[in-house]
Amino acid sequence: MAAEKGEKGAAAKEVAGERMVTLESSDGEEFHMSEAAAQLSTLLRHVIEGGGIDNGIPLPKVAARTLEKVIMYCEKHAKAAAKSDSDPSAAAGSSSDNTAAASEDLEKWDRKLVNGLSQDALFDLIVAADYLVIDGLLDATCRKVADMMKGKTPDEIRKIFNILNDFTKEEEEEMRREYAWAFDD
Amino acid sequence: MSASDLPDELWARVLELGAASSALGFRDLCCLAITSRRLHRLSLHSSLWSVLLSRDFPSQSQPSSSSSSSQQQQQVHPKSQYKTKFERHKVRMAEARRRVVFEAEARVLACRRRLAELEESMRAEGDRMKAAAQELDNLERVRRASVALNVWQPQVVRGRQKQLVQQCTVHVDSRLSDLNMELKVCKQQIATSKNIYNKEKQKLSEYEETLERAKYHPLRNSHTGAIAKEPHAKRKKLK
Repeated sequence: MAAEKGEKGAAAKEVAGERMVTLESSDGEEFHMSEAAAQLSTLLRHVIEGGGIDNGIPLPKVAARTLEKVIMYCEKHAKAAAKSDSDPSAAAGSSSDNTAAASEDLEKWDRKLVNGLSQDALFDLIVAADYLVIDGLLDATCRKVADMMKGKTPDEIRKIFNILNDFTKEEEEEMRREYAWAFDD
Repeated sequence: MSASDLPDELWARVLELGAASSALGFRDLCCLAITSRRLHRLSLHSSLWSVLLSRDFPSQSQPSSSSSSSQQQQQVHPKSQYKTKFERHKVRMAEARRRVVFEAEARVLACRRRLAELEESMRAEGDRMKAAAQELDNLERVRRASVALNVWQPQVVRGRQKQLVQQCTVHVDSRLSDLNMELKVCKQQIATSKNIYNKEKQKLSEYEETLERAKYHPLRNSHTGAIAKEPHAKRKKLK
């Protein structure tokens, strides 16, 4: 099977010896991603295995700016996995320190990624990670939301996430009484 | 996408991860329950409270009682179990909470003290600066007088200038340069102190916010600190 480089070339091209896939965001933008990175998404993995990627994979549920972040995450994690696989010292005894430091660095990178997002972008990324079934990314983004809620009062939570208080006055007072036990001292 | 648009399953995942990673504790779930109907519903998931139950009361696993009561146990919602155990350990939990409030108050007080110290030192520095500027002024006058004496002056003026110069006991030029240096140093000190002061002020507002959060109680009005009166509310069962 010769690799045809026409206008509508096979989505699985080779770039510098790496197989790439083409993804199309909901707003029509095209992105390229290494196949290794795409494997991190269970959904994409199945699509690739099923062979239905000749003209690119449309992702009508994922906008361009979100897809960009998804690809960043997957490429980073795919590279990290490849590095640890090919690490020569993995055979030697010193591997545990290296892998611990490497996974810590990766965690820091993940935190930096989610910390730099606006709230809207964060929730978009959660939905995308869920849709594409990328567990690590879903965990990292959901963790961030949980961290944002930690220690906050109900008023603060409503303010931060723009959540409407849809209790009636009586209901809210009942809620407060019901949960007062947790705050008594 | 906004928080309100996020589907239930994903909010559930957020809460699960929060509980599992200790980011969210029992008070957080209670605050979430008070926030909105949807979050109330989500915060009631048994799995969340089970996780907290086994983490906060680990040694208190299934009580070694007869099979009938342990069957009952399985039917009691973990949140109620948590509340029961909590009230049994109320003293310990209340102490922990008081400690948190105490530490938060201590931080606020220490910050306020630092701010007062900074204000004092900036004031002292300002006074020093004023004194130096005053002396500088006077010395400048002496210097101008001594320069003027080199040229012809009317006798009246000359007499006054001679007096000024004779009364000055210090070496004018070197004292002038010392004073200029001192003024420079004072200005720098004040600028630095101001910088630290502003940062400290920011810290203070953060600490005060944290203190307010630590003192939160759903029945207490956050503004007045008084306990809200029990209203004659209809008891509605919320699904």
